[in-house]
Amino acid sequence: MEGKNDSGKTYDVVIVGAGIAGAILAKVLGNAKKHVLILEAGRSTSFTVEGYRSFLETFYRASAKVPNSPYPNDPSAPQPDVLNIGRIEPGVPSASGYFVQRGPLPFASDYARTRGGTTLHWLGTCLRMTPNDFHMKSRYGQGENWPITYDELRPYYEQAELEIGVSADVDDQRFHGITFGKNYHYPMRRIPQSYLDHYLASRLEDFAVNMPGQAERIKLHFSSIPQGRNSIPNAGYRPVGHTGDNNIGQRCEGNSSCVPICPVQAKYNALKTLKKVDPDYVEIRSQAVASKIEIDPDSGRVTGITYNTYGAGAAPGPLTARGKIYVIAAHSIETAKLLLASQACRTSGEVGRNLMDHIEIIVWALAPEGDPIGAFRGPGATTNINSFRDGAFRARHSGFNVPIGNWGWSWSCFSPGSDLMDFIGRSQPVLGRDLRRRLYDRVSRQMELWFELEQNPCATNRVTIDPEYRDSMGNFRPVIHYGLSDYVRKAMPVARRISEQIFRRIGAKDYTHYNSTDPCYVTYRNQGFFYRGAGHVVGTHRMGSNRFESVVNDKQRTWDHDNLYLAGCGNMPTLGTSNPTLTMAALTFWAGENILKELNR
Amino acid sequence: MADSNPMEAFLSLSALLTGYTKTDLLATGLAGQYYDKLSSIVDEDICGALWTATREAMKGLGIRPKVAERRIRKLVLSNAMLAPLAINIIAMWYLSSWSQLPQAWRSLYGAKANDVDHVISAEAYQEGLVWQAIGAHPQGAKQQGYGAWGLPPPWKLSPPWKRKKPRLKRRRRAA
Amino acid sequence: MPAEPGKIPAPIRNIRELHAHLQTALEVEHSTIPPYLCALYSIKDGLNLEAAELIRSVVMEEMLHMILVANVLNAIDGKPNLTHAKFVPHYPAYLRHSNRAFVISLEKFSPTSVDTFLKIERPGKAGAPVERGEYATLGQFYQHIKKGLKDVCKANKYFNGKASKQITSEYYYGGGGDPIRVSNVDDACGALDVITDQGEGIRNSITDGDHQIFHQGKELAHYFRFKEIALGRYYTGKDTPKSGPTGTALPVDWNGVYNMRPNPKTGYYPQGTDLWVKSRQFCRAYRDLLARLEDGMNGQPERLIAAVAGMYDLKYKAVALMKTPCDDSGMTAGPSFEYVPPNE
Repeated sequence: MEGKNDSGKTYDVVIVGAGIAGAILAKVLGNAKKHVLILEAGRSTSFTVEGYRSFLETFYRASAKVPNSPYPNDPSAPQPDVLNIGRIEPGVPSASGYFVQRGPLPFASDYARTRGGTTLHWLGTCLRMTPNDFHMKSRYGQGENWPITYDELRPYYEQAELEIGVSADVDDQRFHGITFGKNYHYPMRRIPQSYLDHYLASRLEDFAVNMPGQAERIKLHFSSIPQGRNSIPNAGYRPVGHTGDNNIGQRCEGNSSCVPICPVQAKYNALKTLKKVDPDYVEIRSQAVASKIEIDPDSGRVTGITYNTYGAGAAPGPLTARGKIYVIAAHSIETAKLLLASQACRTSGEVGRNLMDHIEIIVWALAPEGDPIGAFRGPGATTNINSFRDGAFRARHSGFNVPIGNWGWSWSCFSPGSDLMDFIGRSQPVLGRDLRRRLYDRVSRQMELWFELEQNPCATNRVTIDPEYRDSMGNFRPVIHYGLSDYVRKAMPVARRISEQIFRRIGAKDYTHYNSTDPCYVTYRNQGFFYRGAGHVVGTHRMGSNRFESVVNDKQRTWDHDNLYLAGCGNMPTLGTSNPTLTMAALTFWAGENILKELNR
Repeated sequence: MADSNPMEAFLSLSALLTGYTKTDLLATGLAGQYYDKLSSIVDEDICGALWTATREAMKGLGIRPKVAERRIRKLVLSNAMLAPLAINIIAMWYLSSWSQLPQAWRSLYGAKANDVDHVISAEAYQEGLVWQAIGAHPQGAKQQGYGAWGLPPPWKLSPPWKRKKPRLKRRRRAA
Repeated sequence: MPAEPGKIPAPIRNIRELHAHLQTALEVEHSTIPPYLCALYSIKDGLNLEAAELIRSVVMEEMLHMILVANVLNAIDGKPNLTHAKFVPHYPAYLRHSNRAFVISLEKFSPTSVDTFLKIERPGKAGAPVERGEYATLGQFYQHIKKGLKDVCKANKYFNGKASKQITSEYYYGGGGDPIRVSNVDDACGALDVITDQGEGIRNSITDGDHQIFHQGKELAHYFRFKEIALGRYYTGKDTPKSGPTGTALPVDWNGVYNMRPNPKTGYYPQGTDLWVKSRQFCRAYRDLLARLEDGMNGQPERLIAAVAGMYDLKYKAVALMKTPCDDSGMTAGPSFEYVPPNE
């Protein structure tokens, strides 16, 4: 049902979603003096010092410190939580959380529905994609080609790196064909690498591993990770600190909790961009949940976004916001859901399909005795092994990036709590000074490597809607169909072989063990693994070069509706081996430019 | 341990179980919160038995820690009623959280409504001893400063349990 | 102290005396930091947020002042020294430049300690001459140094210090403005002006001039920030020193504070006891921090990274002491900031 026009005003652009994509568009358009309305389903708590602090307090008190633990779930705009991931029995969906998971395997990532979006709990890694990532089909016969190239996107990468405030050294990042403009430098210097990074890199210098199915050995190459967190600025750049007090968070202070929450906001989040938008031109409406994109059946043009409000001061019925141009930037899964609910973009049949994430195969080990490496200090990861991001093997199986985890065995084993419980839960508990000694001895030597396997696009991995599953406001809950192809599974034993060689080389004891009772347990040729989600959710409304195989064109505009654009990771046709946010931000700057051109025509 | 103050007994037992000195424990500012938590979930007479056992174990001036530990193992950890409490006391100090007592214990000695897994307070999270013990800091609090993660771990050479305590010298107490 | 009681300070005549004065300035700027830190750390986490933020901002600027003085000293080839035995005052102490009108102590956040802070930061009367020997205000002391700089370093003589020893915003951040790179008399005087302006304010105004120099939001001079705490009310943009603060209320909870025994000393506890050890550990950590800062000011700026880590660690050690009862009096231990020799 179409609602009342809330204010009677027609905006230049109506955006759904106040995450990083919505924020970038609002800033670009507002600066060009275009009137913009953002509808955000979540609350605006994050925008005040007290509100942000309340998130931190909630995080401190949370028993399980999962990515969404600081951000309260609101039944009116519910969000997925990794705590709800359960085993899916055939024919019985797992629906205890927000997602309705039809499997066969659980989709293992979440996102946050609140102002600032999932950047509140992203890690902050800002890798560019490699040039080959844009041509997977023609290069390796896998996945899809993008309608744009690395070189075309490069200037927008620079804009995105400036907006996010990326700390990195160009000289560390030239690999797999990645190039930079002449004299280009990142806004800030590289983030210092961890003691563990130096420990590994110095012991594995010139080490080459055997890769199953590959004739020649592959040399390990370590590079510092470009990160959206504040470091020493290069000339002319001023770091952006805490949105409530710019004196705080001028440098990353080593809180070691980028996920779930950076207490000082030294890590970029979309609030920083939202604080920079011109308030005379940009209006942000919180607790406004879009339920339908209104489409004129004759012209195919969008005529409004219908939404419901909740909480104090909520309107009794649905409202409709009107603009000249509309952008849905609500997160890959939410955007797909809204398109499906509105029966929009139906030509290709691709809406909701090709859901992808990085499949995290975690391996863990203890450094040799007497070699504490200082686990649980610093940003989540500060160095990547990037040797496997691209190569001929991608014709056979996934490529992968391999960050070195700085937080001990926290992801694989819930350390250090599980270590303590192990020591004191025995029939003869370890006590006193002995307990301290053994805790230090074990935990300070813990290391994890994260093999982040790129998922290939599969039509059957998809978001759908089902009238049987709705939230408290009557909006659809995402119904997810998900599995892992052999292309991905084949890379799992490869990752294990590589990690075994690495651990053996440095004399670390490998403790990796994949429990078959884990809901995310999978096998390949009788070898078992469990995987974790990376939160790198892409593909659900992909771009392409024709309207029958894709949802948006190279300009990020939908093929089916002249005045509807989509923004967010859902536009990416393939995932590649980089964390997608930076690429998505670059695409969003490009989308902003296209929208401006259209408005100014 | 002639002292009959239960808080004293709680601190003595906590020190022995955790391997931190009473001063270390007091420096967290949380002794009161943890003591209150225990008292709110476990009946007074059971707590009383725990303090009695503690005093018994600590008997004799300046007993060696190893001896006290042996006695605690006998008097507390071999006692089905008291052992789960000792384990929970360690978990409170180290992990800042209360863990639900075992089902068998609950059916024998009573199950309180607040005997559920929970973090004791936001303040407690930031003082969890596990972070000190591993030479790090609570994730999301007590940050170590820009670049500190690139420095060697704190006790590469001399971990605190190996450091010799300075010899006790009698000195005139300053006014 | 260059000026002896009862005498008008003699003009600074040569580069050696100029170095000595700047070294003293470094010590003066430092000497207020431990008392401010004690007050700041004594505030319980999450309470008195407004007052804590004001004190923190002052501390950040005091650190900036140390860096500015070091930059001036390094520009004329001096050698900042933060590790000699008398660098840290023995509290309670007189402010080192002062006319000994009041004593500064290591104390918890309280009306008394805030009152002392007001005395420390008291603005001078415009153009007031140096009276009877010592300086009544910091401003007078810096006026004296500036005059010395202009006299001794005519035509930028002696400005041959290594540029690499200048500390810049690469390593200093977090509020209080940017360090100034000093390479001539004008820079040097500008740097010293920032110090007096931030402390005492621009003449007949409550602001510190930061918004003129650093293009930042309007900031109050230290004196007026402490005045806000003392009076429990914020200044508005229109207020003057005479009008007093007329803005919104600034809530202060004098009880939301650890009850630290004033001027803590390691010697209060028998040697070898836990508290003695912890108190001593704090002092050693402070010594190490000063040593790293000194390295940072003497051509090894990367050591400032370890210094920052040391500052955080120091805070956690201080707060731990403040949570620990020192005896049965209801008071707690605290950081004593006592000198520890380098080899201990």
